[in-house]
Amino acid sequence: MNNTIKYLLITIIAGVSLYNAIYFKKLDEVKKEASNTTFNAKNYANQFFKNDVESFKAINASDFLNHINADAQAYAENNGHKLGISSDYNFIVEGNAIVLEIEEEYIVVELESDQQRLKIATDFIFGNAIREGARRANIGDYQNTMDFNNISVELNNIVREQILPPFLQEVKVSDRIYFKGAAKVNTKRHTNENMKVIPMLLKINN
Amino acid sequence: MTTVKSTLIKFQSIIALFVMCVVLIILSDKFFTVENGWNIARQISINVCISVGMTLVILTKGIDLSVGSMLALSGAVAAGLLKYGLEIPSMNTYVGFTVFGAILAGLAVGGGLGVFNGWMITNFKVPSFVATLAMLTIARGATMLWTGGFPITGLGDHFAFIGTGWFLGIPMPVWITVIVVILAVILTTKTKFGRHIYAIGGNESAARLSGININKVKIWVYTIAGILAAVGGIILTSRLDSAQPNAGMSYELDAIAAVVIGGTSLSGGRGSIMGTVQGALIIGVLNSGLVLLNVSPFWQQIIKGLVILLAVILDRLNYANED
Repeated sequence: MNNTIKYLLITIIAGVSLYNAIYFKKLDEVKKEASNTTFNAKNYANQFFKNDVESFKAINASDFLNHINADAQAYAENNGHKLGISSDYNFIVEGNAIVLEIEEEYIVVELESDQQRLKIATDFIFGNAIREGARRANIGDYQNTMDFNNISVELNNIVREQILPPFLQEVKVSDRIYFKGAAKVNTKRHTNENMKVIPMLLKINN
Repeated sequence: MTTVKSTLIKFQSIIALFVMCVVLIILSDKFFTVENGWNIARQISINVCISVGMTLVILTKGIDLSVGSMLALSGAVAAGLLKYGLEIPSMNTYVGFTVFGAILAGLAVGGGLGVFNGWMITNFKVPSFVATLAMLTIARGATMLWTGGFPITGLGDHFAFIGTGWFLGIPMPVWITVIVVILAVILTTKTKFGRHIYAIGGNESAARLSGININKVKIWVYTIAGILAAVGGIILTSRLDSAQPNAGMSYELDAIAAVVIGGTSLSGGRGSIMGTVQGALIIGVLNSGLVLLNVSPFWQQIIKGLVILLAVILDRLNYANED
């Protein structure tokens, strides 16, 4: 008798707990609802590349290198963009250049305006340089940091999957190219020799 | 003389805590403030929850190295279910979880992992060190799988209330911790189960011969440790409004430190929950004081290590004959 009451009580408590713990909905309705309200980083990145990259006002690459070489901290504070308290500043730069070397991970170009050299990344495309350089997103605007991080992931994916493959198929040493892309500068330890641009736009001008 | 010595031994944790507080009040004007008091209380609440479970385990002469990972997995499961629910495509069904449901699920995960630890230790005679070390990596891996390596954030105000809310002028984590401590004190001092825990840690063979179901008690002890790790995980997730895949890293060490500083013998059978609370308070006050005094984080670790060593040496000296 005692056991019966015990198990009955346990069943009632478990039932009440479960009733208050979970609820059921139709999956397709939930998905439809979610698609209307969820931030879509892929669409966001696609829209950016489709509508904004071409017209985005970038810094002339030669000017950028000269200023960074002269006083990186002051130039970065006035012209760059960083996330939080980091010392990594991001810029969008552009220029016309001649291809000097084609390596596995990057190509080396010489700027037509003043023969300075730069590397354009072609393999390891990661980080937040495009998002931060383009000043497109503010972390405070996103309740979910994953959404904010996904913007960078999707922007980098577009570079990796849509911008680089057609360019790499055609480009040869001594080609004249136009590039626009994001560059990251750590104001505490930087050298122009290691400056690498993550490309957003690449054109062969031959 | 013996009475004075035994009194000093009995209250050594409180004396150490008192001395530390006096020194910090003299050295820092920010230490003895209400705000800092609540900060310390909130910060140690998670460690106290885990340490209470660890005390029970250590009292049975065991050790649980997996509490940090269980904390992470429980918090992540609770956060994941609350935020994303469960999808059953074959039935076109979405199972949503309320805050209460997510908490229950987190606690169930902690409890389940604890049962597994206990089962491995009792049925397969795997040493507790090895069984829980294995669980440490299993639970961490499972957390990574569950979260995909990303934090789960944006869990809502109701869930955030557990870790950041106030009730009757006292922070919620402190309420939860006080309830956990009271229940654990009652469990260890007023129940048959509590006496069995001490008996097993004191002399397992004698406990077995006196008819105590050792395996059952041990499985329950590891289960309670798992559930308390989950409580810590839920408080932490709620405080941060985020389930971090690498949450709780090396929390087991802080928990063991609190237990040891609190006077619980690693040889089992001797110690108390209130001692552990004092141990956690000493660690919390020490952490807070070192930060307020601008001591380098590297030095902080060294000092904490030395304090643990000192506590164990004192314990050894005081109870040399017993151990």
